[in-house]
Amino acid sequence: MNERDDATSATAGGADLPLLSVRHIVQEYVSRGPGGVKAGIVHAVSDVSFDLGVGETLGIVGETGSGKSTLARATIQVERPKSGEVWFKGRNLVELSKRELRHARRDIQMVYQDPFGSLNPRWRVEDVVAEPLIGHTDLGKAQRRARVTELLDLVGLNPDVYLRRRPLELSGGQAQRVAIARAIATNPALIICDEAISSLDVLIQAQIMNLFEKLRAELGLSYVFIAHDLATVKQLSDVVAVMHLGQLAEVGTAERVYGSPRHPYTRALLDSIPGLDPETGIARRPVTLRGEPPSPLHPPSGCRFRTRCPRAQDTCAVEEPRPVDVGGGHRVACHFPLETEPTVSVESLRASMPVRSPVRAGPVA
Amino acid sequence: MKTLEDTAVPVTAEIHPDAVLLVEDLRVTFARSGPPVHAVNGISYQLRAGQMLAIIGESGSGKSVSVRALMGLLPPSARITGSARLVGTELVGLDERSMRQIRGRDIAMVFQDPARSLNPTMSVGAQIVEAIRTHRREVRKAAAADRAVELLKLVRLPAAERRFHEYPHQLSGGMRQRVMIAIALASNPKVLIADEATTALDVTTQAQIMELLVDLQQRLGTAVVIISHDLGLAASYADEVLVMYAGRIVEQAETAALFRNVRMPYTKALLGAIPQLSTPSHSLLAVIGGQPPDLSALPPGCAFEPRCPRADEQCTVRPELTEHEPRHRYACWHPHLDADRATPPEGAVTEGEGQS
Repeated sequence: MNERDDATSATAGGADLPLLSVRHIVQEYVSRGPGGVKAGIVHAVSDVSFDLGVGETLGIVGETGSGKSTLARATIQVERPKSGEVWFKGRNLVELSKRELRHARRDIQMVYQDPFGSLNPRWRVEDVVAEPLIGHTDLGKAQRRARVTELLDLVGLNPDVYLRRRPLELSGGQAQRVAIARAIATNPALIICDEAISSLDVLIQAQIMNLFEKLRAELGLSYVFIAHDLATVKQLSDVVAVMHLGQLAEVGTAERVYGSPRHPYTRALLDSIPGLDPETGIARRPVTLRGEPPSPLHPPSGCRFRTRCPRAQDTCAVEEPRPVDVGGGHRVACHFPLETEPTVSVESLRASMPVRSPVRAGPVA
Repeated sequence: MKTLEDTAVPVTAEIHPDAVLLVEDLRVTFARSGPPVHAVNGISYQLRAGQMLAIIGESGSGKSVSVRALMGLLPPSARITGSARLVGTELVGLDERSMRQIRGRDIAMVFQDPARSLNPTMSVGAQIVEAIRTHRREVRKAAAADRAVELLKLVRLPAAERRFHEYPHQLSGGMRQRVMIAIALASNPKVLIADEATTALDVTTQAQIMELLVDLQQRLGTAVVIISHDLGLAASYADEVLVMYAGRIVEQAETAALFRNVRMPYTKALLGAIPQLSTPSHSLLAVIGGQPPDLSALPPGCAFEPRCPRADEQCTVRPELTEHEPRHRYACWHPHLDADRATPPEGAVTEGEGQS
């Protein structure tokens, strides 16, 4: 049962058993054309493996269609994966019956992008947050109410004000806090956040990110944090996985993946971010990656990134690169990985930022 | 007790010779059953040919409403006052018929969601041809089709001739946004407004679209207004930045000057709330609490006062947007000046959480 192969635990220091071990997950869909004719297979997730330690946060980044959300859904068995294993607290979730799974979900909860879409608009906040308690615990009515009050306090909503409100009477940030209160109601070990802060305003985003950090510290939560925003993921994660067209291009500690990325795709993503140094006020104009992401219906042969890769050679079209450990649990799937850069300090990063092109002359007003 | 209302003097006193758009004391109020909503409360700015201006703010700051007002895209409940002159033509109070002439021809807009802005039942090419012939009936269909392919090449849509015949659902999000830009450029407008045009796109596609906008602005001399919540985006591409809060401009300067010397605590707060690639994992962001004010019950003083870490009694009187430094305006009684640059923004907590 413990034959978790290529145990490249990203858990730095090699703690005890990881909380979550995903092995060789494959998820494919049949795409149908007009008249229901089979048009092809969408390779949504192709052989992805990772580990998540207790109290750790794994960030998953990648473009639209890279399979981030599909991977999350296959992990918690919302959609059963085509093949692969998901070990959570010593049990393989893939083999559990529906009934057993429902029980296991007490320990894994999800927070989605649109809080209004995931909260019943006709229920009051109190009922929304109490619902998982009814299914998963045997608390009485008064105990449930006490627990809901406690939960709202924890996520920074005054229970006296918000208990009786309905979701549409809340702002986006408040609604997301309610969704989080609901997610932590049953004391889960793991929370999967799928673009949970992407639709919020900058200042509210920062509040919710700090809330996630607070809950992590106070409740010992583990997170899988899926987002397309690389800086957000960096801020929250211990380990970061970069997904490209259904595969993991690179996995490693946040410091290593961002500080010295080895996969050209990771480099390209990082170079695409419009940056701004808050202290010097110097902006960094992005370097663009050419071309469109290929279709998951017909992924390129060999390395799936080769059509956009500046380093691609003939081998890349023939042979699919396997993830290779380049040290310290940092895995890279590339035939021609980038050289290790010296550990980047904030100062050198700042110095390397090209000064933006001079502003065209002319008075402001 | 001077407030902006008392001083009816236009803020943009000196008109630039290249100015294509001149907005003065623009106000937008929405009537409804309750108290009216004051979405835009007296903003003034000018836009020069070939300039890229960024309007930054949170939801409800009035950034979108202020430009939609210029294009006559607001519902009938909106009451618009003030002035907005597009190369001499007054847009405020213009009848729908004349507005239709100007919209798309002189001023065009690209929206956040290209999938919803395009007609799913028409080929991409047909939609561009329609845009071309709306304003110039005399152009023959064949000529318009040639021009459409040219436009698709201009916006760097790969395989333009083939894509001409394709439908929106056959294109990716980035390609659809390129088509939207091609449509917006169909009659060579003087002003192009991109309202959160790259927000829904991937970071890689966003960089491509922004590069395209910069290229068009430089090659065609189009003035571009980008409306965004993303300070990093504005800092990287715009020449000038306006920061809006509760329907007013609270800080305005050339990009480099603004971000080197952020004065207004609200701009500072926005900046502090952005996660940085250079900070270690699990560090907390400097956040300010509270919500933007209710636009139907704005405080008499500075609208940011209830959330501002620097606020005191003086802030119950609204500070005017004033040019305190050359080409740098801000509306604040207690700006962050150079002397306190070394200190982190108030409320900043950084915690080196130990990792398990």
